[in-house]
Amino acid sequence: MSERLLSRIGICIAAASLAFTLSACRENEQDRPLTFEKGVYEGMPDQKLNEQDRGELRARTHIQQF
Amino acid sequence: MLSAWVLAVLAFVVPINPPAHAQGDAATSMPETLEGHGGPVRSVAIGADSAHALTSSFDYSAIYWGLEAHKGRELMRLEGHDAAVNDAAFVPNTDIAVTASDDGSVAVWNLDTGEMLKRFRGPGDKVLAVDVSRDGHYAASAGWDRRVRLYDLKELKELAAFEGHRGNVNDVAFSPDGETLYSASYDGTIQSWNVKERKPGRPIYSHGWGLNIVRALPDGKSLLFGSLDGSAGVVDIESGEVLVDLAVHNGPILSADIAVEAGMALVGGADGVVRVYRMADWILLHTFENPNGPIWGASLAKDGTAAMLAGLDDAAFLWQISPRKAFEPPMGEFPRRFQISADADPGERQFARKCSVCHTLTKDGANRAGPSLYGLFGRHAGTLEGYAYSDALKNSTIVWNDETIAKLFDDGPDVVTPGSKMPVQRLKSVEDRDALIAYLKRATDPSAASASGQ
Amino acid sequence: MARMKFLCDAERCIECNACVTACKNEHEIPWGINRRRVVTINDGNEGERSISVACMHCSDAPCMAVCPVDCFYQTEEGVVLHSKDLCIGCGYCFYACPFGAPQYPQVGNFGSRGKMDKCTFCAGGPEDNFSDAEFQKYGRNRLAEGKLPLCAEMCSTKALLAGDGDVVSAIYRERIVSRGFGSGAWGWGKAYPGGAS
Repeated sequence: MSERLLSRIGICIAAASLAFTLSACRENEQDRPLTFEKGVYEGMPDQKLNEQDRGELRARTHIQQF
Repeated sequence: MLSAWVLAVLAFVVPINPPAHAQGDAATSMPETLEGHGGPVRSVAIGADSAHALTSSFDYSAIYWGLEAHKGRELMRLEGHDAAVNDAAFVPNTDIAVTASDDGSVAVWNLDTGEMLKRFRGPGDKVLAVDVSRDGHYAASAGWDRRVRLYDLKELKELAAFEGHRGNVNDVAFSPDGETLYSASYDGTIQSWNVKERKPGRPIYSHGWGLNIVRALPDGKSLLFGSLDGSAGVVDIESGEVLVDLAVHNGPILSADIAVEAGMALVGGADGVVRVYRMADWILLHTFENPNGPIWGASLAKDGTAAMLAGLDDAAFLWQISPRKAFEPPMGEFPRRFQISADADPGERQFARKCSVCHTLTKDGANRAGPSLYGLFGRHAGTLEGYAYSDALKNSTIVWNDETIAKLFDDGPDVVTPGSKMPVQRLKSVEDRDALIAYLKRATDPSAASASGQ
Repeated sequence: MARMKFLCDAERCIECNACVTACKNEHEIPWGINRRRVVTINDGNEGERSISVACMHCSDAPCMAVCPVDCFYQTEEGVVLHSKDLCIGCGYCFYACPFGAPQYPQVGNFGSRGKMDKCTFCAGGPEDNFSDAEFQKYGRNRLAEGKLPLCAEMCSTKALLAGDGDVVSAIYRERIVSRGFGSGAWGWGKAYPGGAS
């Protein structure tokens, strides 16, 4: 019984703190909206590099060491 | 740099008394937004009388506003540039304004009649900024042809094209006495120019990174600068030494303004952050973050209690500095109007992403850079009333239909309608092109009720 | 593979401008455009340093965020590229870029805006690899040939490094350890905050 009560209190505290946290993040309190969807490229698709090319590029990066 | 940060932190910790505000403060009498442009606003300037403002926009126009209590009234739309208007400045104590445009020209306007009194056409490169001397005698422009140009506003003639910068010139500013002109360039330097003798002065400061902003400070001895590396500061004209490092922005500095009487200076950046400083000691007074990104233009009210800001939005908006007011996001679900859901019709998506920045589908053209496409099919090119077409389109024999629109996007406007204002735009895939045409046909049909893409 | 990054070691740059010239020649870039340039800071003072700067191909590229027509894309290797077919030359990316990378050609026809041009990390553009169209619009596609950007590969002091970000930063760290100091890999923190890939 007391365990259930404790867990209930726990949930209440958790919910309250969550609500508090969320409210602190509200847009107008930070003076800005918190999501900003960046656009999506819809132009011609580019060709991808293959694994062999990538391996070569990685090896070549090491050559710059001195 | 560190000291500036310490000051910046202190500014938050130590409460600084805002200027006492009384009836008639700018903050309580200025409109929340200036709505009327059909594209992002590039610059904003509040007039010396605090009752008028000028904005310039990507929509190829500038607007002269009356600032009435809580409402901006469009007094005159200045149309005549052939590309985005980057900057607009009042000529003090007159009803004249000066604008600078991507079309390479600087124009002088009568604000009462909206008439373009004079157009100084440069070699075609973008002109980024204009400034006007306090006595209203001279104007100067900053051009991407690497030149600083000086104009006589009384005689309406170009006096000089100063050469010396090794990169695009991004900003110009007259000294308070009007005798010296300062320019900031992508080459990382600030140069001075002698207005009366019309000859080069000397290099003032070398920053390395490109400079976007220069403002002459009222003491006549120092300049405020802003760089693309995000740094801003105050430099001594005589010695070229940096006197104050201001807070570093997380992106290029794009705008600045000074309220002489209030003793305040404002700096805005591509990171959307605006900071207001007290010029006496360069203590940071206020910080604001714009949700929709860059601050391209900013203007402080005379009393420093408010500023008008401009950026990616189609409207300039008020930032009430003191008493501080929480900011309400001006936009809806998506911050930019061309962002639509991914499951939309493919043609509609093409339109939203590639056309809607400049065109609407409704009867109202909404003052966008291009004409409305309402009733497009069957229309003779260059004939929509109320839109200022280029001569190239006025004299065109094209009638818009499936074939001609397909050709426009296959070959590009530079080939099909050479000399028009439309930027070069081609659609590479036949599917995209056909989807767009099919969508346009549906959405621009005056008899269809579904023409509500905008 | 980690993403591609540029790193400029200001202690080594001797301001020879060879990277600038190599870039211009490799891509046959028109007059007035410099995809890469050398910036000298604290000119004439004790702290004078030179830095070779071009597009840094940022993790969270600000140019992509402000583009009104979404002409930018990022490859799997982290290279930030754009489509000149979509670009309307508005110039917004120029103002967003902390490195001043976007360039615009001198406009020819009155009223027509020039397309933005910038460093491609020698990765061409969306057109077919090695096609004439790709070369004309974006320059050579060295990455598809298994080669790194020419500016870095030909840098005689190896001030400018390019390639796999982990390898590049490891090389730089070793240098700092062996010489005992480092004035900072310029722009690294700004372009790749938190070392994010």
